[in-house]
Amino acid sequence: MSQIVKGLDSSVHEAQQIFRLLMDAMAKPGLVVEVPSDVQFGEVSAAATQLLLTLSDNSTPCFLSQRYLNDDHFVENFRFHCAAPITQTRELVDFALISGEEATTFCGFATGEGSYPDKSASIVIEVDSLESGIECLLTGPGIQTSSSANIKGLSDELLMALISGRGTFPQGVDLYLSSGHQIMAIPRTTRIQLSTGEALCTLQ
Amino acid sequence: MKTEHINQRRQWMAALARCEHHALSKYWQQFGLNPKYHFVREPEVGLAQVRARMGSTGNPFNMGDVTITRTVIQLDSGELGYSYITGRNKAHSEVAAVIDALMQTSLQMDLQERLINPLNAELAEKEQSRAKQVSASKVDFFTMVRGEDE
Repeated sequence: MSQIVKGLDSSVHEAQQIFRLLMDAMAKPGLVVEVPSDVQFGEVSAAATQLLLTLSDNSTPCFLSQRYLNDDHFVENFRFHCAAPITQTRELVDFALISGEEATTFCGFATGEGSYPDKSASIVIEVDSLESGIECLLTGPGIQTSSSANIKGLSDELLMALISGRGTFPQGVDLYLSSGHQIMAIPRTTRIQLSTGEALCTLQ
Repeated sequence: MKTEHINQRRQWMAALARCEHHALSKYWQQFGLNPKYHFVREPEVGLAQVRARMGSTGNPFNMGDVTITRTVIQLDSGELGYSYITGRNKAHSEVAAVIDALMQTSLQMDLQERLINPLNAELAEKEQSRAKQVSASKVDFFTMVRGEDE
């Protein structure tokens, strides 16, 4: 029996609402926004599901990490509703869905070209929580002085990559962190520091 | 899914898509069915590119775009019904999807006999009369072989 379920209630209007939320999130790094609908596929969070429903289509190849590739319910619905080609070639993709615990690096994903920095990948990272966990200090465009963000469920290697391995401006990858209904964006312009010196020591 | 089953489904989906909407509603209403279902994909209108080959065998070229309407519904019993029709008649697309889903249930034989078969007959009749019209005005060109295209 097919596992296909209904997507967004009103694919146009809800997708527009979510698009607006994602724009807000990108414009104000560290801001946590909540997606309006309860739609979710398989084990993937509602936030990541709705982000992909809004942004991906048949012209945006997507990378799925192993955990999500094995999730039949997600893959079947993702193919049906988004129709995005799924590939394992990191250089080619516009979107990637990875798990914060599994992944260790952003290496391989497109960071754009010197003359076309927009030809880069947007990476959705599924984390455990955006309300607790390690506290980070964010600075950069879109943030008046500095703002703080909490992230729980990132591997140590990925946390290091988050701080220093996202590419060299103007090239680089843009990130969305998702958990439950919540999404936070970290564009390539945002600088990230850990709030406590302690955490850094444990990492090194 | 078995090839035979796929072919069968292809045939009834083609009949549902190619028939006239009023003819489809006429047969459908005779059943008086009111199945419970919900939309998985609401009727939506879009474009599909039509490609063709010169003389059916040459290189493919883009002939133009055609409007299509597609719908996916799910019966409360779980069967998914799909429809892709040309044009922008959303009601037609919805009924076709519902019937496609019902064709996967125990109603299949009944629907095939009293709905799909008559629709196919109507289609065949229409095609025949069209073919007649066309052949009445057909012109055959006879050209001499000149033998210079070696």
